[in-house]
Amino acid sequence: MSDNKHKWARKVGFGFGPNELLPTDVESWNNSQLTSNFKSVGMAKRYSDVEIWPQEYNFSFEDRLRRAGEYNEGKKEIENSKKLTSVEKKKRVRTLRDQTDVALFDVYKFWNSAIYGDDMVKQRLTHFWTNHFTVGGGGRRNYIIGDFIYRVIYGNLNASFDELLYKVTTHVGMLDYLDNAESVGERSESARWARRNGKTQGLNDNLARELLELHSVSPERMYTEDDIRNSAKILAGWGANTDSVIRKFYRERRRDNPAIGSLGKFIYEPYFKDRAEPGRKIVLDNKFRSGKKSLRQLTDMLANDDFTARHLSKKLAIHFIGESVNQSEIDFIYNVWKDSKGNLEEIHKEVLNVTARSKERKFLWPSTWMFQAIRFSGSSFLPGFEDGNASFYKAVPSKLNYEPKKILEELGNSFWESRQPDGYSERKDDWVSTEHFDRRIKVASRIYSFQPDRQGEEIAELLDFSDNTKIAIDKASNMRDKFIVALCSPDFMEV
Amino acid sequence: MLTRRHFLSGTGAGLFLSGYPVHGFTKNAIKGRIVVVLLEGGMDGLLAVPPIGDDNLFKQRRALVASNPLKLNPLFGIHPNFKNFSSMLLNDEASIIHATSFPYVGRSHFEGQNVLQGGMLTPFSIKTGWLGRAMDIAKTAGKAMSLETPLIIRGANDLDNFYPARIKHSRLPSSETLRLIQSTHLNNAAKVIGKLTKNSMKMGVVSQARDPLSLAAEAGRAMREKDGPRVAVVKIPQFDDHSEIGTDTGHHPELFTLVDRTFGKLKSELKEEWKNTIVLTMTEFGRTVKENGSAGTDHGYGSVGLLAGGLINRSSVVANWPGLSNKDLYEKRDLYATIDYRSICAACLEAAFGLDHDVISERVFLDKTIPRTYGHIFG
Amino acid sequence: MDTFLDKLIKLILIVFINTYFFASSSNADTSVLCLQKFLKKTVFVPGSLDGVWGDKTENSINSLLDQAGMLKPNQNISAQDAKEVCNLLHSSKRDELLESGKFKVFRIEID
Repeated sequence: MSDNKHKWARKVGFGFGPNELLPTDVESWNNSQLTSNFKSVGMAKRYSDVEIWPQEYNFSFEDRLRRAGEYNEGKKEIENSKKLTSVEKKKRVRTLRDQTDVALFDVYKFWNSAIYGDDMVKQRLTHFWTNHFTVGGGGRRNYIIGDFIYRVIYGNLNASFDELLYKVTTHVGMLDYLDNAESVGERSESARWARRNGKTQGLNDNLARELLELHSVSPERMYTEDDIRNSAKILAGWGANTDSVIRKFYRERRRDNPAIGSLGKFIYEPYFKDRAEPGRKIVLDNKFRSGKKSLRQLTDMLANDDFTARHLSKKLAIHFIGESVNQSEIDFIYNVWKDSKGNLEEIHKEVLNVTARSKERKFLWPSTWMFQAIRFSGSSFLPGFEDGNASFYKAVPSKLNYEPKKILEELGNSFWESRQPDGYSERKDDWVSTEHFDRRIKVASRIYSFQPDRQGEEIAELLDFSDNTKIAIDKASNMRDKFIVALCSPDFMEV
Repeated sequence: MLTRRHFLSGTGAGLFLSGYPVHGFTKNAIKGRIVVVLLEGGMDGLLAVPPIGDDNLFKQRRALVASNPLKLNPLFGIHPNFKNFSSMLLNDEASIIHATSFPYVGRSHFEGQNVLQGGMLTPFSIKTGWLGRAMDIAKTAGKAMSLETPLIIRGANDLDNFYPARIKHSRLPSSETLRLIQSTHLNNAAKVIGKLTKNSMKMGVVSQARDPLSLAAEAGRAMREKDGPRVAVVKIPQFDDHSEIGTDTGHHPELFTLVDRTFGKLKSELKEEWKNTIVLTMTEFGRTVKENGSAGTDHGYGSVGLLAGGLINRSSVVANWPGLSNKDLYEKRDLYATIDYRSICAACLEAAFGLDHDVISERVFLDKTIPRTYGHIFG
Repeated sequence: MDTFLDKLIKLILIVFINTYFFASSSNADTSVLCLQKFLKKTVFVPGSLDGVWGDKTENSINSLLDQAGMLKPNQNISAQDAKEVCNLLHSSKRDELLESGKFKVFRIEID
């Protein structure tokens, strides 16, 4: 694997494009990929140069809420207007949406980083962890998914796992997605008030269940329903649903200066004492006292549990090596996990080591495949973020700009779509269907329309395709078809 | 009357043991059609088919009982949003199974869906689906109305998907090129690309809509054709209403309307083949009997299955009603499942494909203890 | 005045008549018990296994036979039919009845 640097870069990153220099030494490249600081990059217009990603498109949490609030309030004003026709109203709402949209920029950043960014390994790891800690898209949550991906996931790739787990569990997006914002301790002030006023409020165990089942120890730990219930009691009081956060923020900032203060704590650690469940709780034989700190204690306990190390070592191994990874490969990662006490930098290094030694082939996610296809071929498929006037508060972007977001949806692999908490599958079978192949072939054709520097035959040479595939490429009658055959062969779909 | 079971024990069993595929016992192609409507997220069976004759219904979930259910018999009513389905009940072409589930009590979506589709009691223990295995035995083709091939039909030999793409300025290349792509792949991938190639050469206008109702219509249309698929799988997501589930109106009731219209669409598109069809809903679990703190319900156990189609003999509600008082509930929170839904799936396979119950229980579900419910629904 | 032979004949008659009636009612009990034991293997519960024909037993056996399609319209099984039904339960119809009796079918009764 390491004698072909191109293959290696695809295995753990997105491959080296025609204008990229190959590293002289793979080991030190691996190391710098994991430990360096990188700046996000992007391309303003197709066929122009790559530049630093504009600061104005790095949205803070507050920026995101501000824009979401402007959309909400603006939409209401437009719809209540007595002077406008309904056609005019729809047009204005669409314009307002485009002017305040954040998700589209996040998607652009996502694409640009994968295609032009130097930090390809960190990007891949970010994709992995974002999928592991799935926060489904939809509605107002799309305003904050970018924050989750970049500040929480990417920002903690070198931290310890317990830090990542806590930050993920307390993110407004996660608390909203898994309904914890609705969860109220039965003996909390809030629930008692509700009962006195003839309403019902109580615990919702959705997040607690997924925290144990999917995010940390997994069902192998043999936790009980009581463990889930008590975890829910510890989680009660955390989170406000995104819409109410937006509304509250919008009201507050009209009074205060938008540079937050107490509201900041509310956003970054949204804990509401009046909804919390008092008293002691026991989870997996550990005792927890009431109060805000108990959640960190719970997530730390789970993060440090042996079953979490086993569960996640296996997931990491499967993601990079493939479904038929063997137990000894998983054990290498597990041992480093235990020795380093969950230090993600060390763990990721070991993942790369084990992957380098493996002879398995991994069937790539469609999005990974697509980013690699664009990057490796040098196609200019991705529109620039200035193409079609997508800049902040300028005119409505052209229809073209929605394509990156739509294509991810068409491939069935978008992080901005609503989906189940267990995320996108690592199993090849789940990505093989007539419609899936239809998509790949059509996307490959689109990529060809934007002048790739590397054609089908060169791709086959550089990546050492099988003779059988090379023969098929040779038989294709024109350059476009050769390109499509190359990209849709198992040699490129797997790595 | 010679039942198929007796026939099998004489000759079929011999065929079975030697590994020969056991078809229906005639040389004709399979006439029956099966449509599985997957309700993802956990459907609240008590909201859909309230046991109005059970006093505990109001005691246990006062705020979640529809105000005007249609009364079916002294014990059961049905939510008023099921208009088409209720007409079918009156016409002896629908039935309801209540307090039923696959024997899975883990309450996890992704384990639950895997059990439901794979047909095994241990999640993630098998790579094929129960319907796929049955289709393999009966040698029928199937169509999934989704982007991916769901587990439930994997294992069948002839599979296809339908979920139109929305990628501008793109068209599939020539069939020669598609065949070249196919030549680079092995096994299942190669087969799938072959199917794609065949589809791409078909003439005519194809619907581009992707909502569940349009997909169901397309499924019905495709299954009506003489050499069309005999199986279709349609998904209706978003049943996981942990908050604000609704009662007369609201999110769950809207989904009931969608399910109801899906039944209606399938009947109207299948036309004369409706008499050979069975449609069944499946959901990974029901929901808690009592309301949670957010006017919703959490994951439960027993739920309902809705069946419709001309293969049904007489409409009924099949249930071994467990009761709703606290001591009757599973873990003091969920409606018990007293009917193993695998037996219902098995009955549908028997009715549509003519497979024998013993063959189904042994080779599709790998469990000889599954009881036979064919007589209760199709007899 | 009764001779010894008269007394003997009277005694024999009394014993014979008593035995006959006793045997008949014991037959009735056995048949009812036979039905009840069978019903216990189904979801149509008979109440207690006491050999006594009560409402529960009557309702349950009628429901089972009706559901299995073995009752004529408006037919109702009562105590005197117990023996005949018991024979049915041990005939070739046994399996069919057991299968049907595993689940309860509620008809649709919308007007």
